[in-house]
Amino acid sequence: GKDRVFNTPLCEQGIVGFGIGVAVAGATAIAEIQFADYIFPAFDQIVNEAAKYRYRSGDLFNCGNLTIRAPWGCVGHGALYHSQSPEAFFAHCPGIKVVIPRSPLQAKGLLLSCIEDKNPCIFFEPKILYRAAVEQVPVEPYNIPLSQAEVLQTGSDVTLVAWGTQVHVIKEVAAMAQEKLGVSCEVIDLRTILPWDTETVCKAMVKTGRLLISHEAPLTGGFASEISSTVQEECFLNLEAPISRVCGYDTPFPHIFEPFYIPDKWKCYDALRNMINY
Amino acid sequence: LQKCDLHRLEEGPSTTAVMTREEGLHYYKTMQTIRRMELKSDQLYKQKIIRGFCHLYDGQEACCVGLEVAIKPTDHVITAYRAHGFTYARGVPVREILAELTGRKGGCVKGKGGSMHMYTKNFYGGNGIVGAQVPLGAGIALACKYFGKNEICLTLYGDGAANQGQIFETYNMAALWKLPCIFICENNRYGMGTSVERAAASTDYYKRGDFIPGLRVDGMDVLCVREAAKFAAEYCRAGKGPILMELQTYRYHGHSMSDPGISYRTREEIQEVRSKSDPITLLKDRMVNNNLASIEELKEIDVAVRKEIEEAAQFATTDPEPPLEELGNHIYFNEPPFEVRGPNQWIRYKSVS
Repeated sequence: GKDRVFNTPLCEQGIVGFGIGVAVAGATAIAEIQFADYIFPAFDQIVNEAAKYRYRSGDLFNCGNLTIRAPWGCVGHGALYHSQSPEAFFAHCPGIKVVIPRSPLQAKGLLLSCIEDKNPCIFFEPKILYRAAVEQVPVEPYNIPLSQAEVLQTGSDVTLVAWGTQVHVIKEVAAMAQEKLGVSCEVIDLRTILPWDTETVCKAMVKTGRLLISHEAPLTGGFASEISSTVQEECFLNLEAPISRVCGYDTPFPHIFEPFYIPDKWKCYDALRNMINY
Repeated sequence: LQKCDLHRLEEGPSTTAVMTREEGLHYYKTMQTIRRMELKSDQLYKQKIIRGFCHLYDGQEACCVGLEVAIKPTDHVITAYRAHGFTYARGVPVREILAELTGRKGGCVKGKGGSMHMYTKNFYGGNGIVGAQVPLGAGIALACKYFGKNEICLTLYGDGAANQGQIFETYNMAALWKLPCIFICENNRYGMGTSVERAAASTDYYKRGDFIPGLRVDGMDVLCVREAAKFAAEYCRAGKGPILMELQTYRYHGHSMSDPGISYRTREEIQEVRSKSDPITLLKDRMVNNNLASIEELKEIDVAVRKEIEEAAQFATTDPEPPLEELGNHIYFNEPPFEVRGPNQWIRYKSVS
């Protein structure tokens, strides 16, 4: 109804601020930011208010009832301000959860889990999949647990990790690797960026010894660096080759150069091949 | 001319204006060029030659033309993403605007910006994030004051942006330091799909500056806009501080090319504005009725404009795209060039700037 679902004026900082207030007072708040690129005016509210509420009030108050949704990722023609993937900025902030689904079925389960989760969650929705993805989704509610990565395909030679749209790219790469190189890949969808499932990834590393992480966001400081660092700490002696990160370039997201910018299947395949031949 | 509503001002701009034949023909040609350019962009977008986002300005031509002729080329202008009209008014040729839209190297920003990011001398774009350009505009005004060259800054935003927090922060700073900044709210009644009544507690945008004096102007009448802008520019140059102008205008197209523009307003409303308040028609009638030009003369201008647009579209479609090396350029100012980190070690882009 109109009193539960309504449009707001154009003020991201205000929208998230409201959401935090509503959540603290006990009601469930789901705040939508039109594009993840516009979430930055609200960054202060998320990082300084939402994430730290429980901690600084000694568990007296919390805004766990808050979920923020935002369309995320490249879409083919988004250019600088409709294509960004800001998960790395939020991964650096203890107190919130960051979740990214790869498909409609995952999206429903993960979103319901975020809403029910007693912590403020940011739910990034890959916008290119809004119109591209087709799946049978159960009508009744169901939950998919947070902080659990999903192994889409088991393998013995290389581990491929990605989230959101990029999962579909690495699935293709795994198929290519099997066909052309006879290499068997373990494909993992991370699903929750913060807190992330270190165990699933490290278990896979112990098995395979090679890791390729891929995301659209720029290379430097992207979330792949966190995964890479943790994996080399935990599984150093299992590594057969340096960990490979196939990511966007360290530039703002380009307008006309988008097809050259994104980490497509060829770049990933190339990196995989180099790891095999190391 | 229609009298302007005033806020905290004793008197407003004059209700009469003088327009010479040359001026009239110039305004007509400029507005008609912008109109045809926007319609051409619409066509090219539907043919998928222009991709990405495209926010068209047709219906609002009187605003940019009226403002441009009231200020000097040395004054500064900054606006949001509905910027094609201003880009032209500030001096960028149509072919460079269309080439920028199609992402070619002949574009005004070498094809790297696209629709929302067009710049030229004293025109600071072209900004994607709603409301973010307003503090920038105040900063430009501060620089104007600092350099002491008697320049002012026109800072434009829309009715949707008027609800952003940073706008109010800017009002405060501009008024506190008496910055030569004219805040201009182009109120086209809809913030994307939300009408002003549904978005704002007060739709009197010219009063929103509170302690900043304001005036509400009929944005469909180029002369009204001109006189009001002259009044505002004089006010700023006299060192009295910032002033706020609300231009009541209308856009015929939807918010952007992906918006049909009829789900939140009726076709009848659009038709009504087109027939009663179209800025180009208003000017044409004025000129013909006052014997400043004949209908045939104006028709000739139309034909010349159409030809110019056609040639520009031809250029925009055939010009080559920027070379791939451009991907890495202009990130930082750096000497010597550095290599941009990316996914493979064999394809490295050098960043030159």
